Amino acid sequence: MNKEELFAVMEQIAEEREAARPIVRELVESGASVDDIEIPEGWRTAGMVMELCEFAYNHLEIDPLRSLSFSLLSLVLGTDPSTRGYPEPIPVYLEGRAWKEIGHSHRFMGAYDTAIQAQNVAETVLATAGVLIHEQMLTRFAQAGTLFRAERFALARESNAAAIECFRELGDSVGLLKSEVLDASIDINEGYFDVAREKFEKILGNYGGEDLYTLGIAYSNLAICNRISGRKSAAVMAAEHAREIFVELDMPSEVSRTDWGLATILLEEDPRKALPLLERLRADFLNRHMASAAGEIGLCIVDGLIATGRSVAALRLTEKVLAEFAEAKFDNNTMSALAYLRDLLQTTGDVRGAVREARSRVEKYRSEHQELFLSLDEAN
Amino acid sequence: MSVVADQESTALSRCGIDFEAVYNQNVPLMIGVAVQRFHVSESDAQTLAHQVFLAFFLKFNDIRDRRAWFLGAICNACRHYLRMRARDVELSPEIVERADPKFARISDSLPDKIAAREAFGCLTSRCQLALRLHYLDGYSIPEIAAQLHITTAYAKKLVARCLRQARERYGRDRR
Repeated sequence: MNKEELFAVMEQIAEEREAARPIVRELVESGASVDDIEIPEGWRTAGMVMELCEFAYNHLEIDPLRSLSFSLLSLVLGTDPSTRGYPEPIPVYLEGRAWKEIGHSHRFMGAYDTAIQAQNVAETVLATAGVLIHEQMLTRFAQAGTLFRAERFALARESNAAAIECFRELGDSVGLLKSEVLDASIDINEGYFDVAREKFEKILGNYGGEDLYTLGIAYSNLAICNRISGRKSAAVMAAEHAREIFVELDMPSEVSRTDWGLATILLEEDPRKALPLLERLRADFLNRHMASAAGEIGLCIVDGLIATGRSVAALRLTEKVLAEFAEAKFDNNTMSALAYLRDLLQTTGDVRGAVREARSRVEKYRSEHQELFLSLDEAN
Repeated sequence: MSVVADQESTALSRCGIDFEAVYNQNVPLMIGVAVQRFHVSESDAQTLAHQVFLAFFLKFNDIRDRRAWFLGAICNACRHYLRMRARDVELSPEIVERADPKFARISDSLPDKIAAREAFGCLTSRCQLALRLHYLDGYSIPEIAAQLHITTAYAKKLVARCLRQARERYGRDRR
């Protein structure tokens, strides 16, 4: 490919993107499902795949389920024989990018194993083209974030370390900033609160305007460090900073996450005041199909209900949350909910009954998951 | 219309970046690095540099330090290229004369491949995906269910329905 051919391909894709933009906008505005549609011939272009992926990425905050639909459509188009005809590395990029966005969507919905599987595919695809190293490492960083959410901290740190090295080489200051924030966030979850706080304060001190969203995350996590270390006023201040940033960026689910942090502080001070706020946040996450966050807030509400002496309501909500976690196959969260349930049932005085109930639920949960280990033939 | 006005009207120029200038600043540099540092031939170096430039074009908005990015990307591209080249082995003269075994049954397999491609092409988006994941990529039904965010029972029905759809539509189109 000579220079003229290279620029002709770029021009073609730029034109395709311009043509795709109003189509994607119309699809979004119509609100119609894109899950199972007849694909018009003109959609099988690289530009269309890129615009669908852009929409999917930008819509994660608002509606990750819709993002997933658009990402899956982009995968269909990105692996179509007609898009395989572009010069390298475009076909590899399109397939890898589509899988990466599928991974993002699952992660936002709390389906971490599925997200990790999609991100693995994305990275494997992207690694086949050496020139796509940046995209490959951005995918690895995204996977590190998912591993972090899935509480697999050692793996998260390992993936993040590889991404940091590459971001440094490619001069990606935003990628570096994000990786540093993730590294400090892992410290929090491993119990190194002072180390994490120092890292966050250093990140905030050195911030040079690279990425406002990551700055918000840094403030939000600093608030968690301060809360756990008992510095409540510093925690509230950091959370307020984070909230202002997310409001400015129009990121409603991050605003809700920050409010959740503030509500947790309030829960320790005055559970009666915290409860309505937590209930509003749980409803908000449920509406966004973010079952993991909704369930975790549900358990915070259980704490509040117990603190205010409403054990029956707490028991009912725990059962509801447990069902939500089990349905969404959130292993770690299901175990937490089961622990809550056991404790609540024990307070009723029927210890044997509590153990029996918890055990039967564990068995039911386990049998529901056995199908994941079926062979291809059995599954069919 | 002047040449300048003509250029301004292209979709590429509307991206808000002078790709020509970025090309002139970075592509010769990348070719130089590939040739001098990694001993890649001039023509392969140009191919790699152009692929890096295409990768840049695909995500130019996310790249802050262009020089570092181009240098990092070309170095990685060269390392990848050399790793791939290292796996190549020279064929012995007698093998060179023989036909590639991959094409031994080409007259049988090619029509099947074309038929499969055509059958896929006439399906709805979800059916294309479900059949591709199951039959080409080897995903189990529960794995398809997870990726499509549907239940396992529905995924099983979906694959069966999509097979039917392929049979009906492909058959109809061939009539």
